[in-house]
Amino acid sequence: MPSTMALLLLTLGLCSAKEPSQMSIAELHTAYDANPRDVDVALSLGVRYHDELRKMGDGEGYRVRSNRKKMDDLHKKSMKYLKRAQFMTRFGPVPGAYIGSLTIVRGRDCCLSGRGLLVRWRGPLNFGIGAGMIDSAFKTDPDNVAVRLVRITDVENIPHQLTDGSDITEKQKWVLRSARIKLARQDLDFLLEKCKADKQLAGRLNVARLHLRSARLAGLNSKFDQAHQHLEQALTISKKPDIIEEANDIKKDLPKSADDSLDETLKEFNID
Amino acid sequence: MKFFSTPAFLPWLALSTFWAFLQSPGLAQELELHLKQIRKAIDPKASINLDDTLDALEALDEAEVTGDSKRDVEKLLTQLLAREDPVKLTGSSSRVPPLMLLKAEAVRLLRKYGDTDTIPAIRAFQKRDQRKRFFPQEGVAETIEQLSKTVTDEAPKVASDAWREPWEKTEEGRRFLALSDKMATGSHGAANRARSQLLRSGNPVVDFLVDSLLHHEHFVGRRSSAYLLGQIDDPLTVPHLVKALDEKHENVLWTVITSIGFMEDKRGSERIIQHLDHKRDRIRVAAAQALVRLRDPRSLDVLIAHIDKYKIGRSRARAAEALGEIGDRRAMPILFKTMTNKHLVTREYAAMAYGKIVTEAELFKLTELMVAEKLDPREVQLAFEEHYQADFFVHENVSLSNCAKSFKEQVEAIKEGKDRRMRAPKKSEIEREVEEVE
Repeated sequence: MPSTMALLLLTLGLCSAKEPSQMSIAELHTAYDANPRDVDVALSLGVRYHDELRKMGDGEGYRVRSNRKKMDDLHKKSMKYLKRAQFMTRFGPVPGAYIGSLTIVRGRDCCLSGRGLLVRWRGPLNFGIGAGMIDSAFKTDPDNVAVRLVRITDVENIPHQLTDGSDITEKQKWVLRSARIKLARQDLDFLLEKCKADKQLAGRLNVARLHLRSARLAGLNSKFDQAHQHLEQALTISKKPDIIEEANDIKKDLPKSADDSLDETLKEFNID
Repeated sequence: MKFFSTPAFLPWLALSTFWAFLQSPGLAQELELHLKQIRKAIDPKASINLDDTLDALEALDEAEVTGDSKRDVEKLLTQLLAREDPVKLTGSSSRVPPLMLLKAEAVRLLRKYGDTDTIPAIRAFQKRDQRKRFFPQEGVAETIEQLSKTVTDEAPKVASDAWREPWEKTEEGRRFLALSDKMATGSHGAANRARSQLLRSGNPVVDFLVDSLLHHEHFVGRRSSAYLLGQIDDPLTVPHLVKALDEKHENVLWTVITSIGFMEDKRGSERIIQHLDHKRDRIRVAAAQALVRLRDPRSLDVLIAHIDKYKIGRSRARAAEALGEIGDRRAMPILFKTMTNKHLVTREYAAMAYGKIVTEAELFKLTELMVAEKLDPREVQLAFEEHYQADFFVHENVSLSNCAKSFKEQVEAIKEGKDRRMRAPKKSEIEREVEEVE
């Protein structure tokens, strides 16, 4: 009997030793049922559902339209657990940033819903509200790596459809996106600086990939020379095949300079 | 007559209308005039005109008096009930003693206002004057009974301060207590700020809110605690919220039911089902709304009976929605019946719920029924939209048979991927080749 008890305790100990970020959704639910006041479990559940929702839409209108019900459900679940985490952390920055990100994703889904103007105008609105939430989380704790990562990932995932509605002008569309891209580039610079000082963080974040992300965003902001610099740095840091492949992919679409970019644009419109 | 056709008539008319407007009393002035009449009736030295005083009481009965003015009127009426000296009349006399007549009117007015604080004054009047001639025995007894009923029905339980003691021992507890009191009795802004601060206090506040929900002396304190617990959404607090369903105050009860619904915890459904038969419509609506979120199959029979029992009320729409969420086919007959009744909102919710439950064949039968029984295409459209989770269109000025045909065509379009909005974008030839190679 004592040996059984010892085995049981050991098993429980092993189970509890597992990090929430490594658990499956079912395991996270079991852990949440056992202790609903565990912040990490609630946050992990919220983030997991948030990621699922983002993946399910994936910038494609037809996916959003055919999965409307499932996506509503995912949004509800994600919001539930993120709000729980927000309460338990006394309105800490990380759950707040994720709630902002969830609002941006919701904005994307409004734009892609295929519904009329009454629904579609909520896309830019939700985008603005969500971006505001992430920025306020950033103001609370500017050194928080997780918040910075959320902001970067969100910028990478803003679909062009978000600002592509007929109810928004070309100028507004550009301002909205470029402002966010600039912020994300600042965040990436901050993370790269921090990684130089903190080796543990550098291992966790994968510096080469951070350079690749910087290169892509610099390209979007028409800072082509900086983008090329980041690509070179990524290739010097890592020789892994997936990094090399991704770097080549980015390089293929990246003009060498602003002049080249202008030439390509003019060619597209048949202007010599 | 000549004056009316002279050019001076119009300015004269305008001036006289303006003068009359200046002379006419405003609402507040009018109320003050009526109160003056009643004050005269209370003053033992003054003599009154009975008709004018009765007119003043009648006007108060018709006017919507609220807030401080209402309290002033109640105070004067209780003073009138306490008067013992006979009144001196200036004008016409009355067969019934004028004071008793006025007191009977005062009791009627106090009954209308429904303030329980006036019961002692009415009881004192009954004790003192019930042996007198023309005493309004029935009116007074009924008033006391009605007001006492209000006390037992709606007044909160007499609460003690004992629950505060453990919280007063710590600094955090004292802070919570101060915030909860501000939440209960503070101004709108102060209460809002207090709620926000409590919500930002993390896990330690949960136990306090549970205590406040069950024991706070002020109903707004209990109600705000219920709201905050719903927002916090902690599963460990559900048993306490269920316990709070015994609450007598209607507003608190409404918030508790809504919070349990918001938390989507089935542990509360058994007690919430009982509130589907509450005497107040808004509680029935809240209970049905909560059952929509709880999706408890145990509530099936009760929901069906509810729709059958109540002929009007928004709770029927919510009950229909709840039946759709539960998804049991036994609800289909009642949903179909509700779908064709005369109340628009209930009809639409029933149609959506029906669309969730039925099979495709039954849905097509519905289109045939639409043609045969001349049903509204809007409801059929809603049923189709819910079933296929897609937008359906009803073309205007089209016969019902063509409308039915159009629904079938739209279903086929969705199935074959002809609907552009529901279809995956076409891949280029190169992409397809790459996929085939892979």
